[in-house]
Amino acid sequence: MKIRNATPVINFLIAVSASLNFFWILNIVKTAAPATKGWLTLYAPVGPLSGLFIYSFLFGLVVFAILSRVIRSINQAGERRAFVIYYSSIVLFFLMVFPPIFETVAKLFE
Amino acid sequence: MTEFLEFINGLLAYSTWEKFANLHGIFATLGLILFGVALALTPFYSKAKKYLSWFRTAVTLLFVDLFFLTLNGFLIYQPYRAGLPTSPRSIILASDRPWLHQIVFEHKEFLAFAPLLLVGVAVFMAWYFGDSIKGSRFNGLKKVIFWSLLSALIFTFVIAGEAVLVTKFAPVS
Repeated sequence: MKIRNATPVINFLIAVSASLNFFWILNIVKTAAPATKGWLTLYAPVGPLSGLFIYSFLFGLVVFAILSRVIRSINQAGERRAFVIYYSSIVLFFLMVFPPIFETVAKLFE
Repeated sequence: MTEFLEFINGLLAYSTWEKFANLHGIFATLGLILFGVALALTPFYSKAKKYLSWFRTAVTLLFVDLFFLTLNGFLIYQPYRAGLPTSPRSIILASDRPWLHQIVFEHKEFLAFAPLLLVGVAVFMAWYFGDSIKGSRFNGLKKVIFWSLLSALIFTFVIAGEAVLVTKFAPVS
């Protein structure tokens, strides 16, 4: 049995967190500045939702590729920080895509 | 035999979008079953290779199912948001319950981004670590697998509940 280095998994968790956070931030940008809906619409019948999904997914992939090149090893304190970031991102995502919340935030930037 | 043929004719009589909407429901139901299997195996996959193999199969199937569920969701989103007065979104917005689209459906469509990623974390970890995920060194990582699956399940429950609220009022046809 080979004990494997946990660093790629930690990088993956950070990339997923980045993707989730990018999604709700991009959604707020879309709500605050309707002009962005144009470049978010990658496929007209689906509308801006297509760009939201694809750009956020690609952002996560890019973050994972960069982290995999930059971070080769991580200590246990770093692991714990990654867990906190990951769990917080899940909760934050759930709340920040709820229309009464993100619309209120978007109004602050209009 | 006559009843069976009537049943087949009845299925074929659904419109293409209705067939996709039904398929969407089937993927969602299958996903809930696979969530149950994966979560039930979570305490055991580090105990024996056999359970790890089952767990890997369950989470991988779940990931594939969620991928097709999301893809299918995009397909039926097209007739939902079509700019026709008969599309479900137009019907909801013109009704006395516009919040069904403005809050419930919008929350559902955005939430749908997360379960695939969260289950992706469990899949990546299950295949990457294999049977080396043993001992207290991996406690934090094992918790990540469990909480990823559980939070993805909670998201899916919320999405399914919101979908029922909307489609009961204005189904895709």
